[in-house]
Amino acid sequence: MADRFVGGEPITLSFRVTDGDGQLVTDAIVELWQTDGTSSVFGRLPTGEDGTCEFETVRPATVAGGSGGLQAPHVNVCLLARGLLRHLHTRVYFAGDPALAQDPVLALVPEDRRSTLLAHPAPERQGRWLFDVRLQGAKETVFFDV
Amino acid sequence: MKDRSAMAGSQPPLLYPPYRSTTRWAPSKPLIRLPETLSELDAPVYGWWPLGEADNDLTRQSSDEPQGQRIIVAGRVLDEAARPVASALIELWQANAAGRYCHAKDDHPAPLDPHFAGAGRTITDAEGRYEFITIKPGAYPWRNHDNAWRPAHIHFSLFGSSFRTRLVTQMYFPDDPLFDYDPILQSVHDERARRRPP
Repeated sequence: MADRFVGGEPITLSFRVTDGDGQLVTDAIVELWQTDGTSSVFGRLPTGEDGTCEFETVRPATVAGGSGGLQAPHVNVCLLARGLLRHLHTRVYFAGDPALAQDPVLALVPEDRRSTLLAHPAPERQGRWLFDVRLQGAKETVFFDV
Repeated sequence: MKDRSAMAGSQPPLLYPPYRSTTRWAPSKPLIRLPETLSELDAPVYGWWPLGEADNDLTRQSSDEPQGQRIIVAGRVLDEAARPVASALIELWQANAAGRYCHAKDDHPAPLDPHFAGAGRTITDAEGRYEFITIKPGAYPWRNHDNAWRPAHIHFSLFGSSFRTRLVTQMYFPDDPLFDYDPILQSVHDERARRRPP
């Protein structure tokens, strides 16, 4: 995706999808919808045998929220899979971003579940972010009705 | 397209135990509803996704014709107020006439057709119309329950004006005797919605 972006810091965004038994979901489709600072962009990848897929993209900027506020940088995600009767919507935010505290969408999420929406920097490589999608379980990812 | 007030019966629930995999895959906690003002995003640019000439004719994507009954699948994309949705990208995928997908994960022993990939796409016109030429897919067995067979169907994926109007669905053929035994079709509780005519 990165060659289509005009602005923003290049990042690698890596997804890992697991089900209610902690099993890897090896044939999901992950779609990204985000802004690159100028326009909306879209990307789509299947998860592999290790339950992961990895996008080359950019870290989006803050965007306008409702009623004059700002939303923290985030990526909209659609998850589609055989075995899901409807696709699921979630959001990827970036751990440590100072704008998280003011984000109006995170404010709608119970505090003890907000951490499920955070990508974390990979220890081994700068610019690589890891995001777990857990369909069920104690740390079940927050999904949205958009 | 999606109308949340109609979700109760015309859209499937996320959890439908007769479709076994939903018991492990459906989120157990309620979805968090986003106000529209917080989930607006302009339509993405599909310009880097140019359509090919045979993309909506699945019988012309190979050096020879696929096996099976040739059919035209046509219709319109309408929004919740029955207004046509123009310039919507529609993708379609399906099994071949023998009921086998051209996909590495399909291990059903029915034969692959070397002349049928089973995937197409098109864009709706100003009146929301689309048209595909394809072959009628076969029914196929799956592991959901004893002697489970999916009725013949074609998968559809639609992109409206934003990710809020993303839609993934399936199209069936009239009067298939497998309907009553298919938990995916039966997961749509509203019988009128299942049978809604074009």
